Amino acid sequence: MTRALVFSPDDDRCLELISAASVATGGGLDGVDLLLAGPAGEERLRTPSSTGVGRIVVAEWSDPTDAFSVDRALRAWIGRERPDYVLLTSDRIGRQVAGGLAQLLGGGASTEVVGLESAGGSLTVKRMVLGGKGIASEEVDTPAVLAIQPGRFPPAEASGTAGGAAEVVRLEDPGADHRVRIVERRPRERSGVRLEDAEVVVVAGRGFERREDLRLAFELAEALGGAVGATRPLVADLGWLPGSDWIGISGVRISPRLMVAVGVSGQMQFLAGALDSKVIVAVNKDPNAPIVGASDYAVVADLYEFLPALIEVLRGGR
Amino acid sequence: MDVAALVKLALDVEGLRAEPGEAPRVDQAPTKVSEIDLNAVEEAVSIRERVGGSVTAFSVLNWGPLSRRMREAREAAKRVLAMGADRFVLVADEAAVGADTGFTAAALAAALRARGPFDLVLAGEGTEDSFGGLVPGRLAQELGWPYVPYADGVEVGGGGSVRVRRAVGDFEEVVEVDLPAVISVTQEINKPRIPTLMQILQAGKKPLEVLSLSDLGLPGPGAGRGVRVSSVVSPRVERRGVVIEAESPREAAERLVEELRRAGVI
Amino acid sequence: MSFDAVVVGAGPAGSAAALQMARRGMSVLLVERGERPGTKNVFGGRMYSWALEKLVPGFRGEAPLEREVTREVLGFLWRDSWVEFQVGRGERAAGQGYTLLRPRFDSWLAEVAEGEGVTLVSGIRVDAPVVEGGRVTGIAAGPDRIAAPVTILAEGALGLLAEAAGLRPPTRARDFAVGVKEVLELPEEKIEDRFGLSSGEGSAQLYLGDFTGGIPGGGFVYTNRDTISVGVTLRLGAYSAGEARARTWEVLERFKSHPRIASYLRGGRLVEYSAHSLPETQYGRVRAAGPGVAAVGDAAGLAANLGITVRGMDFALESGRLAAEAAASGDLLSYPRALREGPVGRTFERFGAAARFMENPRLYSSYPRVIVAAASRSFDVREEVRGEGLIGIARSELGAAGVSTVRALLDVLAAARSM
Ligand SMILES: Cc1cc2nc3c(=O)[nH]c(=O)nc-3n(C[C@H](O)[C@H](O)[C@H](O)COP(=O)(O)OP(=O)(O)OC[C@H]3O[C@@H](n4cnc5c(N)ncnc54)[C@H](O)[C@@H]3O)c2cc1C
Ligand SMILES: Cc1cc2nc3c(=O)[nH]c(=O)nc-3n(C[C@H](O)[C@H](O)[C@H](O)COP(=O)(O)OP(=O)(O)OC[C@H]3O[C@@H](n4cnc5c(N)ncnc54)[C@H](O)[C@@H]3O)c2cc1C
Repeated sequence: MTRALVFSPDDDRCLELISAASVATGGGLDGVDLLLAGPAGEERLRTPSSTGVGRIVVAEWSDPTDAFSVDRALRAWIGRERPDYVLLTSDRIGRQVAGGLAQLLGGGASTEVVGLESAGGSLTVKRMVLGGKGIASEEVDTPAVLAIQPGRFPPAEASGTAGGAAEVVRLEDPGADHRVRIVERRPRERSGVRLEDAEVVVVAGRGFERREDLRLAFELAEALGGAVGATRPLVADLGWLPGSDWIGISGVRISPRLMVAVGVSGQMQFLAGALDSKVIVAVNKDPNAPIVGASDYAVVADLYEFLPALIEVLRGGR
Repeated sequence: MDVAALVKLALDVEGLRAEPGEAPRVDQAPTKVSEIDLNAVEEAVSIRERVGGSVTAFSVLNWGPLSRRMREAREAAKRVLAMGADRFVLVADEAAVGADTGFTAAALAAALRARGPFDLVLAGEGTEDSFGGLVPGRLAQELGWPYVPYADGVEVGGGGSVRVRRAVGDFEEVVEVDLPAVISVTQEINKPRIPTLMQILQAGKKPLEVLSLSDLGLPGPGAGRGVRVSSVVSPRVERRGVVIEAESPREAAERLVEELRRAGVI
Repeated sequence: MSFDAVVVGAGPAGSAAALQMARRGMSVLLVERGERPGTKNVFGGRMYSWALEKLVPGFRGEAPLEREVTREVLGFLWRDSWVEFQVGRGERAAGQGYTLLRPRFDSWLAEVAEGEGVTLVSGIRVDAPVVEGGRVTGIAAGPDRIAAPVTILAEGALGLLAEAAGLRPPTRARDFAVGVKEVLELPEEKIEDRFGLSSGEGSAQLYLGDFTGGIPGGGFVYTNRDTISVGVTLRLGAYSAGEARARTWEVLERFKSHPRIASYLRGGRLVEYSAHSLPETQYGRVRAAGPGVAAVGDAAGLAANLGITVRGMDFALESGRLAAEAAASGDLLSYPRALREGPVGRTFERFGAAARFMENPRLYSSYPRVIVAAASRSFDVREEVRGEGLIGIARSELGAAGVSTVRALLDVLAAARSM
């Protein structure tokens, strides 16, 4: 019996992982178990239930946004069922729990997975390494814990069988690990857009001199119908875009139709998160900046002169 | 407090030559201490400065050829010792080259046990060359200790616990964790100090211990390896590379918009 | 912590000095500001090997050398045409030196020094020599001071420490010259095919022509093992450093796209580029030693600017070795004399003429055109034969270029003397 356990803090991403699970096993899957953390009414059960999931494991007591509580739920199920595959989203929660679960299972693990292949009973995962300079193919032994980048697999669709076919199992709380206590928790201010899903992303870099100047990036994004993202220093060091994620190896990966990188030098750690953009436009005053060589269209100009002109042309053109 | 800092010799990806469709020349590229691991060392040293104790750095060599990497490892060790670590333990063994994260964690656990006890293990949240972030979590499991990753701040209180400030998903958290524990840090937690000439000279006198797997009583990764890298190729990035030059910003903007319209992206 | 000697800079001069002092039983500290030796020294094409021979006799088997130069080429480019003069030498008897890449070479030499017991510290910039009562007593770096009876300054062409130690006059920014270089990667066999070299052999090629737009300077091509170094150097006294660099990139592009040069480089992948200002020949203007201190290599002004190329690695190695011997003998002040009377001094005495010749503006404007035109016309069969010999063709081309035959003859004589 080959079984997979799937968890994502985000219900939509769960569907992607269900597809990934069937690719990982080359179709030879006997059943997918989906862990739903938090209260799960009829509504929340309906969609996954129609996709051929075998069991929906409901852990009402678990908070899907709390990595420690998710870890506890996953461990409880793994201890009981010892699945062959555990599929997670490669976000901070997924990366936090992946290592421990793999060691618990005594198996292989890969994070930041971008592709899967299964042949002759062996599983090969693809992931980006060497700061984006290499794509590694790694053969992973089962049991395997795989943390998969968002947006890499299509969401699983409803199968022919009528909804409600999945068995619902209630998972009991095994009790908290008292060695770890969350003593304070507050929501971060969020910008609300998911850069991973945006079709057009304007990325702001250190070329912007003042926080107020980001107005230009937002105006451009509005004119293009897209979202604003940033490089790590703007988010993490300067805190200019609270609640936003940065793009790159240690942040999120984007795959928009169009990325406009403004005042971004294009260091590898950044580019690794943007390589899947279909078209890359760079605006930089330095013709030797690495981003110029990595773009489809590069405008060598001062952003303070060029962006207002570009915004005007785009608005006028409508 | 006795703190262990995990230090990986990561490939220096900046200097790596990569031809699209071919394997990057990893053997020719130098290695250096992974950037974020320096943040872990800095945090360990500053904790010792605040509350006393010791700092031991641990490293398992993952990249070959060993002959060449040993020299680089000694340089790396010197830098870490110059930053203030008291000693450096290097696990170097042909059999550990290319080992997966599970084996690396097991080797680290064995080394930590052999040279411990420790109250706290600090690591970087990921390394520059692979950014898998798996080793600290695996190590915590191996040791049976709690694991708190992504620390943007670590505060040492009394009573055998520390407080970690971190951000995960949509939340900012302060987590209190009992010691011993494994914590991974982000680049934002501190600014690693640059050692002075005197500190580097004194580092030459601090102990650097080289251990093999058999010193640790470990067999090679052998059949139990969880992950084998079968190939690495550089991605083919086909970018058009059009540089738009124009007399005025306005003209450049018009040309860009025209190009993007023609390409069908807007 | 105390040392018999401190050396500033782990380039060829500093490593040579440190190595030789350690061999003579001194405890030596070698301080380099780069992360490792050689990282800041991207330049260098060919090194004459006589000095290394003396310092590390077995270097051939150990040093990271690229190719042994057995072929010299002097080329003239005019529009799309070209003429190349080749001088080949019998296998390996040449002694014309080796092509090499500095990051590898410099770190190798520093390692040899470490092997002799030198303490190398990288990643530390020395701020100043410590001068007490007219004597240099050590160095200052950040918060630290290291005292030593002998301080050797091997910091390279800028020579700020040598200036602070009272050995060098303040740097004049007169004849500002700049060089840019690219390293292109090509398979070993391809390089050998294209340049007609056998395995391990290398070619050193210099070019004059209209690609500089009349600016004094020229281009060079050196073959390494599996890379080619290609670059131009220009004397751009009138421009600011920034403008000069921009100009130089333009000239490099023109040089590389000349059909002849392009044929060597085709398919090469850029792996490195760098820009650098060229040192002025300062020989005779720098005091090589003072109480407790000596300057070696470029810090002592020992780079010869030969117009298109710079020669200095051999002088750096030799001066480092000589200063070390003087320090070990307990009489550091005997070093300047040993330098003057040895091969370095003797070579520099002769450079005057060569340098003057290279300042001749005709070299960069009319001559390439005359030579290319004369050579190609003498092979041009479309024209009716007018009984005009090569001399005749040259004379009419010289006329067209506005240079008198007498003037040209004088230049040829000058060239012969200076080479
Ligand atoms: C382990 C590790 C992980 C990392 N992860 C990430 C990551 O996930 N994401 C990330 O982004 N970074 C990451 N970094 C940091 C990364 O290396 C770079 O430092 C960062 O991406 C640089 O951001 P930037 O391009 O905004 O700034 P800079 O590199 O400072 O570039 C600013 C650019 O703006 C241009 N400019 C300046 N003024 C103007 C103007 N007026 N008009 C036009 N152009 C102008 C400049 O020419 C320059 O090219 C990581 C680093 C490490 C070591
Ligand atoms: C464009 C160009 C092309 C050349 N081509 C050739 C050639 O083909 N053949 C040839 O023989 N010569 C060539 N030369 C000359 C040759 O590079 C020099 O003569 C030679 O490098 C001199 O060696 P050095 O050790 O004196 O100085 P450098 O090689 O300059 O080494 C000085 C070292 O000191 C370090 N340093 C500087 N300041 C400090 C400080 N304050 N604290 C600590 N460390 C410091 C530097 O990082 C460096 O490593 C060329 C030079 C140039 C500029």
